[in-house]
Amino acid sequence: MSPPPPRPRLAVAALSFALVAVASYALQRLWDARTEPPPGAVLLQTTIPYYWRVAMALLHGLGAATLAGLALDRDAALRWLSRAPWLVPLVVLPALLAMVLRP
Amino acid sequence: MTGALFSLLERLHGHLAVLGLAVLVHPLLSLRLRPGLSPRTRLSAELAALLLGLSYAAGWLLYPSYRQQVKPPLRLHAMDLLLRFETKEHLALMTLALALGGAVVLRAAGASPEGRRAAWWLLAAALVCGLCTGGLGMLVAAGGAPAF
Repeated sequence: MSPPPPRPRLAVAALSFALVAVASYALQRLWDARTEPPPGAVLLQTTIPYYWRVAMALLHGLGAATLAGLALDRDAALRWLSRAPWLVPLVVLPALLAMVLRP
Repeated sequence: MTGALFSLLERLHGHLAVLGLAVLVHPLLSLRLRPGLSPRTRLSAELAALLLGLSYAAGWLLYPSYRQQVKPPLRLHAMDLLLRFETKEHLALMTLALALGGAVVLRAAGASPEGRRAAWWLLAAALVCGLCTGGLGMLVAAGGAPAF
């Protein structure tokens, strides 16, 4: 069975979704950490911050995926896909380190 | 949520995550060692993303009960573990986003070398984040056993 023909625009949309969701979550968390109340403070919260951050990160990821999927043509999408070997570590490693160092 | 349901979901959450990470190794090795893309490689990437997604969904359901029942004692007695748990939650989302992205890239553009390379990097990043998540999960579950 031969593989289906490549759909690079969908692939670059998925790449954008993953990277933007990761970056968005990490940045939101770092922002929240700056303004976080001290441990033990009694708070009445209307939202669960973690759920809120996840929802926002997914929305940002979906927005970036839509933009990338619509704006790039096939050749540009393939060019962006070929940049993944440095783009993925560039986004993921700082985010991973930031989340480990600043829980 | 009852204690029994909490325990059941907690175990399901952990076991599905371990299974998802184990399945994730197959497309990583296969993409690196074999030319082209086999349907099984694509399928195992999608299965890994599905298992990690199910694990994440179980964690999502557990989170409100964790905040109400487990987090307060951890905050009092084991602040370090609490912070590690928070890191685990952050990394879990990153793992899921990267695994989903990798599986979709492989499905959409696995026929091209650029697509396979991009998928490999996304899946490899998902595995790294997932292993950190799993390690922290085990650490927290072991250290906070009475609270859990």
